[in-house]
Amino acid sequence: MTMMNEFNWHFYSAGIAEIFVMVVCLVLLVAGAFSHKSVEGKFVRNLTMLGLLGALVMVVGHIPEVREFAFPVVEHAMPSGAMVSLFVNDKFTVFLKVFIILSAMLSLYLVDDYMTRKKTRKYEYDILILLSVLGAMIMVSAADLLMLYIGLELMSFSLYILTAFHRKEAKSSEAGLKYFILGSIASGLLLFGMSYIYGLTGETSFDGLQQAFASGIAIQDAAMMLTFAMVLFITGMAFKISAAPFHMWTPDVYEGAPTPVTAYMAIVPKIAAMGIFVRVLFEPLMYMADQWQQIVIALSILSMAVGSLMAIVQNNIKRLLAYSSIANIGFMLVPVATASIHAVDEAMSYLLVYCMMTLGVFAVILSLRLREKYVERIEDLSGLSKTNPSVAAALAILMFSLAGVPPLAGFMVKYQAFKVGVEMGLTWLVIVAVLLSVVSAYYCLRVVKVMYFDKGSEVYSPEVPSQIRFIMWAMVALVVGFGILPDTLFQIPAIIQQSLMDATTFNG
Amino acid sequence: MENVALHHYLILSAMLFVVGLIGIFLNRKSIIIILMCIELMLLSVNINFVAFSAFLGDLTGQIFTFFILTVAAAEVSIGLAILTIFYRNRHSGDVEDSNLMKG
Amino acid sequence: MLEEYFPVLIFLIIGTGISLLFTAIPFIVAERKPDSEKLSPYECGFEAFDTARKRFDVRFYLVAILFIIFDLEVAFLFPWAMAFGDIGLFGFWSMMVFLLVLTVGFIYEWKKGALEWE
Repeated sequence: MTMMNEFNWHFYSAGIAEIFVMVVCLVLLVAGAFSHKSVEGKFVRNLTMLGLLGALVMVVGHIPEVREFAFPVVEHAMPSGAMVSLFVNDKFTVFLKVFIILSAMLSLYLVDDYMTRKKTRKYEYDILILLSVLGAMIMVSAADLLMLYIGLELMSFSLYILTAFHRKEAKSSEAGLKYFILGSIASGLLLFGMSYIYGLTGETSFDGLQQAFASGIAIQDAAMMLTFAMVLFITGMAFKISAAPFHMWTPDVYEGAPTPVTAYMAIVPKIAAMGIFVRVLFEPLMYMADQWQQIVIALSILSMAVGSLMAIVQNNIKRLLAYSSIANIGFMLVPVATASIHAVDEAMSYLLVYCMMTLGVFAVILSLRLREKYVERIEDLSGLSKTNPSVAAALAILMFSLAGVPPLAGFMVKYQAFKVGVEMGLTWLVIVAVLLSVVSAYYCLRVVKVMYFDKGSEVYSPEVPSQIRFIMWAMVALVVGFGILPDTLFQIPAIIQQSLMDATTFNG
Repeated sequence: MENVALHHYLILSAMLFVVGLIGIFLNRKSIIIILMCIELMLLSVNINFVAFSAFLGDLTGQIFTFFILTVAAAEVSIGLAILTIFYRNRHSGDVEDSNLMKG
Repeated sequence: MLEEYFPVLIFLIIGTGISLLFTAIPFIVAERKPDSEKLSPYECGFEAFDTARKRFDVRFYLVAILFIIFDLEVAFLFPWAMAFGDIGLFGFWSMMVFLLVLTVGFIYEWKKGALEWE
């Protein structure tokens, strides 16, 4: 093994956006600490937005034609003599990063009003969001188990703190504690799995692992241990995407965390974790598909069932959304469970539409206040169609989309996911999924029923910040628009899938 | 005397890992103990990595260990910080008291 | 190879069994007759003057938290120092970047008053 002695700018150019975000974080941390109390919030917010915008430009401006490696800090003595790298940049990562950064920016717009009303505005909030975006970006760009772990933890740690951000509220700190403990167990399991994968194959890079599995040597020698390690590894990942039966933290954390944090947490970590989950399954573990397919099928069925059934009995709308996210992860895993790389675009388009719907619903929640308190119980929504018809209409459209009512985007992606499932021969799984999506339609429609048919006399606090209103209607427009023009929706996931396919055939 | 072979390390780390994991689920008292169990899990993984690294003659495992060490330190400090604010809110560090949300 | 790894699985199972067993035994066989002497904390040489369950100042935790973060840097500095001759300028600046990040954290905590006792 030799260390790289020369500084070579080329290796860093692929990770320029990440480096930039990190520098912005450091600068803001110092600048925020030294600036005056009265200006620090606005000041840091503007710079955060500028930083995210800059990162977005760098990510988009650097769409690589081919798969590009960076940071080959450790040069292994590989049989092929190839350089093993930690960090990869291809279209798969670029598009996921674009979605991560855009969602982070939008969710930052949701924060101001809430934090000002709750008088918990602190500039550290923005820096924590930036750090978790950095973690998410590193995670989707990981080409090595080590980088995957670092990115995952950077993202998770920021989220633990954000969950407990309202430190005077018992619920918030309890949610943070639960999230922290269960998240740490998950990363422990993940690491234990990683250590055995490393021990049995001698590799940590995705390419190396793929080769090791392809040659079959590792599989023959210790098939059982390898499967065991893979199960642990997938368990850890399932925790992070909150797939049942590893979903226990989700409802409590969604409920306890400050609502803008919940909105952020429902989107950005999901994109990153789901993206890297798919990448890991189809790149290093490609030749283990027989083994992981059953696990993913089980995760999918359990998530759909637990999410759909438990959501019915919820009274808190944030808890309802938590169970809805679990159910939707289950639906998203249907195409993944086919173990066919040609189904990846269906999963990715589902993920994107799910994020749009969730962001819209959270914008609605954040725009509703009764007696200056934020609405959390579903009963509080009764009569919303009379008192606040425009918001009720927006929420109804989003809920119809979540339920999968045509011709909205939620229906289109569900239809595509189920169709590819049938095509790949998982008809029985799709039948289960269709039945459970009927169940999940019930809880979505219940919200609509409460809004339109139940009597309520309370008047909602009027003024809604224009930013929240804008995000709400933008998401509604996207959901309707992509429902009418589904072809445009599927273009980007198709690019993501193509990029992943190129990556998996990179080494033959 | 028999040499210490790879599987001895693996058995040790597997035992430590299981002790940590079960400790979390059986512990009904203090949340601090949960933090210790989490640390135990991560450190047992470190033993695994170092043992494999030495066995394979490959340094990657030891580099991994360094990163796990650092991340574990950050993890514990965040855990302690969250525990502190939990304690301030509830005046207790007991597992049973984290029960505001259920279902 | 398989023979080498198979014991690990067995030990996972046995380890689970034994730790469950040892957790269960005290519930079954242990005698419980608490009195004030048994419940009081043991202090060497003098009567206990306070309960062991006493909360202690939360500021100790803060110091512990800060210590944990900053003492770990040494773990990176040692191998870096050992390999310093081989890694050249690149290695030197890598460590400087790392220390810079740590310094930023230190400036932040200082400025925020985390180091003040009162």
